[in-house]
Amino acid sequence: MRPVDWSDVQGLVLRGYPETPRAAYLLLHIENAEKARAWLADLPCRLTRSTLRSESKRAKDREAPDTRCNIAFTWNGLRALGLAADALETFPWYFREGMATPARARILGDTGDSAPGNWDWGAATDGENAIHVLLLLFAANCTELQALIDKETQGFTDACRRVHGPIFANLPDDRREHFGFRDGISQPVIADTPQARRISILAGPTGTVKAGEFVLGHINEHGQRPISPSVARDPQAKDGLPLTDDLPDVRSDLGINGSYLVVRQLEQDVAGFWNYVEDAVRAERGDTDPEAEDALAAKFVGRWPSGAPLTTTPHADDSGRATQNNFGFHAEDRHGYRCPIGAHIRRANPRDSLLDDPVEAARLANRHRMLRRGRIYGPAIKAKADRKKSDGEKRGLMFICIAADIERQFEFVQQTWLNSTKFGGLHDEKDPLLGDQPDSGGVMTVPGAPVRRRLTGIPRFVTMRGGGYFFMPGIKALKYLAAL
Amino acid sequence: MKERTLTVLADIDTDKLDDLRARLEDVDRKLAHNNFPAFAEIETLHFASFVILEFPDGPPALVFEANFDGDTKAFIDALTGSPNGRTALHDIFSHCIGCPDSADRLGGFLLEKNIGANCYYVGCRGRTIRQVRQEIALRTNVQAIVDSLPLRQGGADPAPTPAAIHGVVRQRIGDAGLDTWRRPFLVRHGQEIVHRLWWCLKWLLRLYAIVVIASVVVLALLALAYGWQASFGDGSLTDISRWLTDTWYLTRRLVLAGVAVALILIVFLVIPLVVFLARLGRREKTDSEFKGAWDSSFREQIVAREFGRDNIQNHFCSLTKVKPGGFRRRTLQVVLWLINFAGRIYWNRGRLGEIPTIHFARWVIIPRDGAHWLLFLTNYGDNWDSYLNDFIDRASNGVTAIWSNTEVVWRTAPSGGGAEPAWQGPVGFPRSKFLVLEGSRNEQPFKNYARNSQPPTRAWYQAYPTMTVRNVNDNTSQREAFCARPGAANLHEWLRQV
Repeated sequence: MRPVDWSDVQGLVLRGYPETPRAAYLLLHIENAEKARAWLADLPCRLTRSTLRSESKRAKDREAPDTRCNIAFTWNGLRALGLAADALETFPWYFREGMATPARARILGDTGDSAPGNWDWGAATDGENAIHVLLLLFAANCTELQALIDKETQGFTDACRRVHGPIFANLPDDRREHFGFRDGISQPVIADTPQARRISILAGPTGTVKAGEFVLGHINEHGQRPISPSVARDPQAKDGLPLTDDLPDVRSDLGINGSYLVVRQLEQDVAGFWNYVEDAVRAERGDTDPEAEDALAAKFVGRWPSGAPLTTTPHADDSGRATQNNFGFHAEDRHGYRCPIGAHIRRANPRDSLLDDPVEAARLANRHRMLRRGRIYGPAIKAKADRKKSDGEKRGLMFICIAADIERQFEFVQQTWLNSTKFGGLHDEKDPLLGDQPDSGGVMTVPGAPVRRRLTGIPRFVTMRGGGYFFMPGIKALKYLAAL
Repeated sequence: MKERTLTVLADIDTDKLDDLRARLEDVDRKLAHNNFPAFAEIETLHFASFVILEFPDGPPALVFEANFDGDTKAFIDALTGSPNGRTALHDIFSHCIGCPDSADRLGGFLLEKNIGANCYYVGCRGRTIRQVRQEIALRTNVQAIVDSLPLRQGGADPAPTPAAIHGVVRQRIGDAGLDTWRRPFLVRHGQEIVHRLWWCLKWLLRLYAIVVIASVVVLALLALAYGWQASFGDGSLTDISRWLTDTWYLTRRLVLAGVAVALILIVFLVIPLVVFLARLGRREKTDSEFKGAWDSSFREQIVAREFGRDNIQNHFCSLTKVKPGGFRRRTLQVVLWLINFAGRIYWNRGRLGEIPTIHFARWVIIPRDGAHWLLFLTNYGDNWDSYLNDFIDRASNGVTAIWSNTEVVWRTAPSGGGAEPAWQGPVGFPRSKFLVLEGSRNEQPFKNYARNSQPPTRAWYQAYPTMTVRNVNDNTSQREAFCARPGAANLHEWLRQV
């Protein structure tokens, strides 16, 4: 087993950059491959890597603004850059076809208003609107961010054209998404990283996930190196890439230290969500009751607004447990009396609950984890009283996740857990927050005594606005692409 | 095992192949709206499918798979009972070689072409279609009644007790004319018990025969090696008292007997096992190994079919070639026999090797054109990727023990387009060790192997398309809790499930 060379891995894999809360996502179309390659050749020195060295150096040298920069490509982008056909064919189908095919739209729940035809960006696979490059820029404040955008735009100005955006996003201090709940708490911790060494004592053996689940070229939770894209080896030229396992004489590993990136711009109907909750509470109690509304919404989410999990904090919010993540469902909450089976966090990560044997269940659930790097976009809702008012603003979550196998990780979770009507033995329910509910409205069962509540007529609160599957190469692979 | 399974395999008249494809497309459309006459009128059919198998040498074949209640003869009679159904089925099988001209003799043709299954698994054992549908109706009715009850929190009235809820629901279910639910002796405990007892008896008799033969062999060997006298004495009273009192005598006899048993074990178990593992190990090292991608020419067809639907239930067919030579074939036969056996006596509560989503699965070894092929047909819940993940996560030993004896032969779409897809392979299953280890644990190669081995399902029938195995089993236990004597624990259990 070779250790991961983190200096060759782009920084977003290991870190969510909380120190640079302002982000801009630039979606580019390559107009001139040669100039694009020249731009890329110049880029690696500015890219943020997963080692902390360069940043601590920058922190000492306070004159330069503290910024972060990462880059990823669609399959069409790699083709536009001039990657050979035999190399393009070694990428997996989901990446070659992209997120917007009818089949994927079906399994991801991108139907109705969320269908690719209605997206703002990402639906086109060829033509002038096809997305080729995703440039992710981060800075501590808006001024520095704008300066960074301007600087990078100058760099690619003759090579690429902006198709959409920039999409500005933010990582608020309290980490709350627009519905008002703390987000991004549960993150897999990669084995053999400093973080892992810190938490492994607390979390136990299933608490960490092997690096190969997120970075190509390394051992994953199946004990294997995932199939990696490769290029024909030119024995004369040194391409700087390592040999492949299968055909070391003729192919070089292009995937080494790279990851796949799933990007989804999810618009949230905040007023719709809270008005539904208000109506449900009124139907039950005959009156409005903000506390009961919070409690019911928490049943949808599986955590209280502060982030405290219902399983360990069943009766009232407790900000002391805001980031608690070391809990399972099996022992305390098997039937969902605290956190309903269909609650969002239980669907997104069932932890130890899907098998009779909790240890085995947790081990298998770890084969479907991903690193989430989401940030919110659009104006935040400051006062609780405003959450039911429709103000016409567009707001939502820029969902970004990192995985080594989109099919087994992101698509699996979306299809088999979040959007499955049969999750955990349920009959006819989808994720109450982001499920593609039927026109007649969705259902959610909230277990309770003496008998469960069944909420019906749940509308769709989240609409897909655009997205794509990207490949975020390792630094060596990026240099190879620049030298094509 | 043909008396309760139906796998019809009939060679297709090559001239009529395109015609048959079009016919099955039409059948599939009708099945989607449940107006295909042969199946719409029949009340014992759970799942059925039509698949076209293509072979590198020899004509293509049509497979018709049916999962039904009762025995095969009765099912075929019901299937060909109505003139409409008979004609509709005959329209399909008339594309096959040897199909009688008259639809009236179709039943005989189907029986003749039935190849049964080497291994057959049923997820919701003992549940007839009738019972599955009754229990769906019960659940939805109970649900609606409970929804209509005044259970609002914070209201003036105190929340009703579990017993009161149960009483009201029972009353209204009775009023609605659904009183049959009260029968405490449920179908799955009924007719299935008779069948299962008979089946167990058969196997006990066979096991008993094995034990008797083994004992005779042991005794014969003992007698040969040491002489009857030396081993057991003359059986007189003094001899028996000697057995009891003389420790040295006893020890000597026990050691002798131990040596004899060890010798027998070595001859009959260890040596064969070592020989088997040595032969297997040689093959496992040298057999070719699949590492490629999913590049079968059927890919787009399969994707369109699988991902174009709700994915509550799915159908999967796989055709692989048994590796050449008798060794692999016999190994496969034994493995399938063992799994079939275990599926009956152990994995009979909704899980096969811990996979909880299989409604029905069958494996059939088909001798054809001088080679043997393994046909796998399954009706399962959820999507393909999650099913294959279960294969790896929860049943990799069994999956590897079966498919490591096979190699895949598939066709790839020509890159230029136009020409006929070209045959690829055979390439062996991802490398296994000791028959059950590694193999399917090579996640991505295994999945791609399975995908390349998959011919598209041409037409598919589901009797209860919105149900998973777990739903069916949960409905039964909800009904049992509802019918049970209303004690506090039972009521709580029932209320949890409604």
